[in-house]
Amino acid sequence: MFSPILSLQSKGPDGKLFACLFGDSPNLEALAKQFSPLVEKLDSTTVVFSIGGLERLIGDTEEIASEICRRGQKMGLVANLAIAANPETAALAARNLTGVTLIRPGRELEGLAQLPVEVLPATPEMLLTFERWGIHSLADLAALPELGIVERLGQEGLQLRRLAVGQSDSHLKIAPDPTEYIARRELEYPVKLLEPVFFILSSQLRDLTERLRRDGQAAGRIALYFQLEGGGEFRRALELPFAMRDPLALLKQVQLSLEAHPPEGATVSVEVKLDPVDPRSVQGGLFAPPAPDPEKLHTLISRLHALAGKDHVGTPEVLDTYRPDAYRFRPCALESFRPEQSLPAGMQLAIRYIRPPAEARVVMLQGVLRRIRSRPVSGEVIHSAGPWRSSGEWWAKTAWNRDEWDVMVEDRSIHRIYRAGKLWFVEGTYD
Amino acid sequence: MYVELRARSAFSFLEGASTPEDLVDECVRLGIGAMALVDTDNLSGAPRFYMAAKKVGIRPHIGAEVSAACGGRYSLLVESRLGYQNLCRLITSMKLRSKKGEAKASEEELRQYAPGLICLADGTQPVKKLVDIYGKGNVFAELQRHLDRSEEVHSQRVQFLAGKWGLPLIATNGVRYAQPPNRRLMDVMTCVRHGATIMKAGRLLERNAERYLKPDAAMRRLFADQPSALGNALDLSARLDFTLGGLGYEFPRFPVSPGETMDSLLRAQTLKGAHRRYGDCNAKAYAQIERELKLIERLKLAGYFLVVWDIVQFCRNKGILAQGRGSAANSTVCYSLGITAVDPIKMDLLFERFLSEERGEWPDIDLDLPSGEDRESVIQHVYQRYGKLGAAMTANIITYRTKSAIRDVGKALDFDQPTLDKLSTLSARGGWDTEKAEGPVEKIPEQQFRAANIDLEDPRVANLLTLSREILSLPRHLGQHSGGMVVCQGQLDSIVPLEPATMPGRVIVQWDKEDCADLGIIKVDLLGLGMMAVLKDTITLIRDHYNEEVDLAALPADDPLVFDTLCKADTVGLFQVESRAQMASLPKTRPARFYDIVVQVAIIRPGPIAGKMMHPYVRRRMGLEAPVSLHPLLDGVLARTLGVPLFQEQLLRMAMIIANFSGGEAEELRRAMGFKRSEERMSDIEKRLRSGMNERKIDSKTQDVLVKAITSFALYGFPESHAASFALIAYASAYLKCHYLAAFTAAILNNQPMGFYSAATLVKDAQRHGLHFLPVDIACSVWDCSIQLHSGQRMLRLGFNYVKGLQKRVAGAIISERCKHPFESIDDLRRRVPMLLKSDLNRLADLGALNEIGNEKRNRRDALWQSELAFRPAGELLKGAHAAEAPSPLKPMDDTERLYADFRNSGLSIGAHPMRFHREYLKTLNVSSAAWLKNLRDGSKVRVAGAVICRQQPGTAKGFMFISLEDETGIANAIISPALFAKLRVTVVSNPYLLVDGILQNERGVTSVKATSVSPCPVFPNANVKSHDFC
Repeated sequence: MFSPILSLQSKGPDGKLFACLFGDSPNLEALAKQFSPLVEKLDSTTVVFSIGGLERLIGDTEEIASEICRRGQKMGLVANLAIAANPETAALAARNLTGVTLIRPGRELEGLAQLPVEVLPATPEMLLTFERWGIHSLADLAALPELGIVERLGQEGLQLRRLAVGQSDSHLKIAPDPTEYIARRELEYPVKLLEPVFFILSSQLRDLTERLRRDGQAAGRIALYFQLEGGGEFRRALELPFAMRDPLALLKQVQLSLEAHPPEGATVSVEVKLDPVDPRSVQGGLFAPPAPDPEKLHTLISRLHALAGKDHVGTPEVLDTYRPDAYRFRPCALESFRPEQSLPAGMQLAIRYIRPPAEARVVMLQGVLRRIRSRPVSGEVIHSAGPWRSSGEWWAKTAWNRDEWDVMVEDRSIHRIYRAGKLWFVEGTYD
Repeated sequence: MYVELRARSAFSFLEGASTPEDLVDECVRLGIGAMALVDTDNLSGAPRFYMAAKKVGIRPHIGAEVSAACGGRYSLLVESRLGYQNLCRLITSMKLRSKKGEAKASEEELRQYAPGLICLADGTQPVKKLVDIYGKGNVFAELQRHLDRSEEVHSQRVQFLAGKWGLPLIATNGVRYAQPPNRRLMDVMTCVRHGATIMKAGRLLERNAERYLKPDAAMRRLFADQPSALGNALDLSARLDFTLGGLGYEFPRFPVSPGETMDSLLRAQTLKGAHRRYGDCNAKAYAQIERELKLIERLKLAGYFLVVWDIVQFCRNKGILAQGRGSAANSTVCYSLGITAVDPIKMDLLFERFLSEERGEWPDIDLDLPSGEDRESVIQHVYQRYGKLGAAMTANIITYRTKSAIRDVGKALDFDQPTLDKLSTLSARGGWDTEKAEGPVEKIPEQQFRAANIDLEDPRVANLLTLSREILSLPRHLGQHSGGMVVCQGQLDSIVPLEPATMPGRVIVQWDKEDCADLGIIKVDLLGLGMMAVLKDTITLIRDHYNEEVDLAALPADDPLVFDTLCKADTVGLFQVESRAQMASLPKTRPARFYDIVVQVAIIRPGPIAGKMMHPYVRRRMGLEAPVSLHPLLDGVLARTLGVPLFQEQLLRMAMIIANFSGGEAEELRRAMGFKRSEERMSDIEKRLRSGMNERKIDSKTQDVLVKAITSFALYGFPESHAASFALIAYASAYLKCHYLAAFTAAILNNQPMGFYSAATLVKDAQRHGLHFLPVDIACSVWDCSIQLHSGQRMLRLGFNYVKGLQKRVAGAIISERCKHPFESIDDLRRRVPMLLKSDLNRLADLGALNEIGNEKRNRRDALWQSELAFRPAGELLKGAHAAEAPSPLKPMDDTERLYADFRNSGLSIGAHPMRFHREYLKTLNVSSAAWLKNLRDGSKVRVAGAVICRQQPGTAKGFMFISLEDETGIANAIISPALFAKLRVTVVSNPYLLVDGILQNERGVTSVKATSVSPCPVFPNANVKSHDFC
């Protein structure tokens, strides 16, 4: 809540007048914009805006202040308000004087005199200098000769002194509003099928990507929001692996996603929003092998995801662990294949893994494997090598501990079997 | 039978997870008869391995894995003493020419130091090269099997190479820990070494837990296809003749003139010194000297005494104060040689505490030297005298303590930093006192973890607790001992590897002082003592400014002023008697002669306090209770300490009197009953004690009392000789402070930081004693604080060393320029001393050091206004337009501002105490000054306030905290109970000024306030007095 007006003073001779709001509310900017399009957000707690010319609409300075307070109170804001002839003085006052402060042009020092020098945007070294000099308040600083300050503290000192006496000539730095890329269409009647929805989405995406192209942007994320018959909602967001603005590629992504996860009801409105990101800049290497078009590749991968499930598509990667058969799929990357610098020397036997491993019954006498019976392999063991022992991840639930053997059975086929706890498994067969 | 010839211990520093003792214990359990300790690039674990193995009859082979410049490591085993010497030299050579942690042996070094070494070819080095370097008969092909599929190809290659080169194949297990469960710790250590977390370490970790000491049967199963590999290992073990028992260490022979022996030289020098110390008529002294010299001769220790004497002579010639401490002060020979300053005859000290025939150990002589440059010059003298490879500092093996264990294990287990910070905080102040805890770490009070919001059910926390406990006390890295030096006849690097210390110009051996002592390597401790530097500087200042020569050895023994000062506990700045506890005790014990100071130094210590010796002594001293006789035979021994057994020498004498022990036996008793008690040794000694008492016809009930008294007091007794040496320094410091306050204060200020109090407190104390101080002045200050004569009075001028941030070379440049001709202005100063920084100039101005530069006088603010300009020259064009000549618009500082400026720029003020400015206001709050407290009745309610100059929470105080509050009149002490401290911890710990309400305890002028509430002082001066906190 705004506190009562502390002092009432008239506006400046040049007509320039700035108000500053300081508080902990996210709506400060909204309040400022009710009075002026020229708003600068200094930080999350401070907003400065021009109120020059409002006297014709609202009245004199104190009436403007009252109106700001009134609307602020209506919005439930708790903030300080200061009005001064320059933005920095207004900000200084709002940040450091409670309630509403009106500072008449030319009388800035009177309003700010008692503020400590620590309120100025000074470096710690500068503040130490002030402390050494016995300069505690803005009045103390203002009392120092300007030339003496310039000679000793340079432009930084001069700037601080000017702030202290309220002689700033800075201007508001107005940031443009962020552009939103949203398209919305209310349907005349509820649509159950996806095909008509895709038709609408196609046109929406075409328009949006055209806007993106004009602004030199691309889409990094697609957000869909459908209102459904009966008051239900459908929301879906698609993170794109790289910036895209081809409407067909985007539509394909949306199609695959909606087909995999359709809305649970008839659609009554369709809204699509694209999050803008900087477009991709790619230059193919002169000697690099040709690679598929990223958009096409991504579309293909999305189709595969839809077909096989997300966890079963990607680039296989061997994990850095001794855990047997440890690998994972990482998202497909558009990197060119580089063979290993050095392949392991010597002959390597190829093994065909059985996934999941087949349970087996094994007879072991006096530490020697005798017989094995399982789905993929059964028979007398005529040769064996092992055990090879591995264990790890003792700190986690994924801890393992197993002994494995290579066994040759009567038909001279060679298999890898292992024992984990009391259970035996066949893990694979050597070629 | 299997023997393990390649085992790493934790002395491989994060490459092995078990101590040498654990490995030896496991060998015993498994019946392994020999083991080779092969740590990486060091022999630091060898002494402990040797001692442990010797005790249980296992053959301890020594070796090392030596990193090679060509890549990989050479696994070398010592066959003979020559081999050991070569291994030591090889490691020394590569370490001394490399940066720490980057040492690698070149091929030339490997060749040069190959004789006497056996090399194990594990297939990572070209066999041809190994055979070429070590000779075919000294290279063995090493086969290891860890049930690792990928290792098998390598094994087959080793077997192939062994066949090709005709090398015997030996089996080892490449042991890194004693038992399979230690693998977890090994994994964590691997993570610490690589800076990785256990989740991301991947294949840096072990594939399985097979690198443990395996039983014979398991190894036979593993090498069933190569049975000779185990037999060859056994044969090789039989070939390895060398153990550390045959080290061949010799203390340096002291050079003597032809026709003279070391014994004769020692005798001559001792008698010469004795003549100076005792004159010709002290038959008792000469008889003792004769007895000691004969023993020294029998033990062949003359060289050692002469070496120490030589060091002391060097100090004397260089004007460096040196004084022996510890048990050496029991020796009349040491006293006569000038090594110690306490007369053992006059003090009736017991020689056997220092040296006895039965002990079979080298005596220990520690020298106190002025800390700083003087001590360094003595150390460098020893290096020069015995050569870079003939002398070195002993190492200090840094082991994991609770905090470091939590930090390293926690990081490896991927705990976040805030959690580790919380756990570290718990570990501080004994919260996690696992070092002393006997039980597993899981028994650490659970509420402490809950307080830190740590889920005890989390398996990660359980792992952290277990592994932190396991890693405790394992070696982390090698540090440098504070002063122990070892020297050697010939080259020390053939006895133990040397390596560079972090400190430039220092070399350390790879063994710590205990290891050196265990292996019979003699050491001399050259310890730095701040107060020695103060005494030396004081004597120099007295010589320069008082025109007097003070000889510390000839100070008046019973100076009344000294004892009066001690009785009043007016002891700020004095050696050993300045602490709060000492101050609380001195007015009660009222020392009246030198021996009282000896007792005073010894009794206010954690040991005697924990042993409940202090209170009986104090009460008897105050006449509140009569001395209790343990036994009439012992009355004479205990008379000096009023029947309270306090000194170790008394323990020895008690055993000698009541049980007819010889001096050596009595010393053995003392050591057996020390902190590392062995039940077996204790019971053996108790039997002997009782048998001796039976001979003396002491009844069994009295025997029980005496045995109990001896065993309990043996833990806490303090060496009388050590106390006497310290008491001498304490007396000297008190004497110099009482009689030469300016010199003493200047010296102690120039040697900060040291002692119990900050410089600000020392200044205030000196001012209360009437010393006048002068501020830092650009025109007459020197680097150190100095004495200047003003109006016939000696005053202390603060030096540039009390200008924060000002470098000594800059101060030197100022002084040098000033000597050419005085500075005319601040601008002149800036121009002529270009290395002066802007921050330096501003500090000097802020301190008032530029007030009187040139002809004009200015205040600090004027100087600041001008100094700021001095760094922004206007240039030729605008020179005329300069406003520099305009007067400063700044207001002069008032008293408070000057005080703040003083503390801001020098950490002290020679003006009024900050509390003085608020005294009137404090009076309105009923705050008593510190000095006024002694006028108030015991038990009255009081309120005190002041700057906190010391916070102390001694381990013996059961959680009580003691704080010292300084105001302009002195120091008030407050006691805060554990409950109040727990409630007001933040207030007590974080506020530089406190206000304490409480009940006054006033016992014979010793005042303290038992706090009932503590709050921040309502007047909060900006002058931050630095508190010395011991908590």
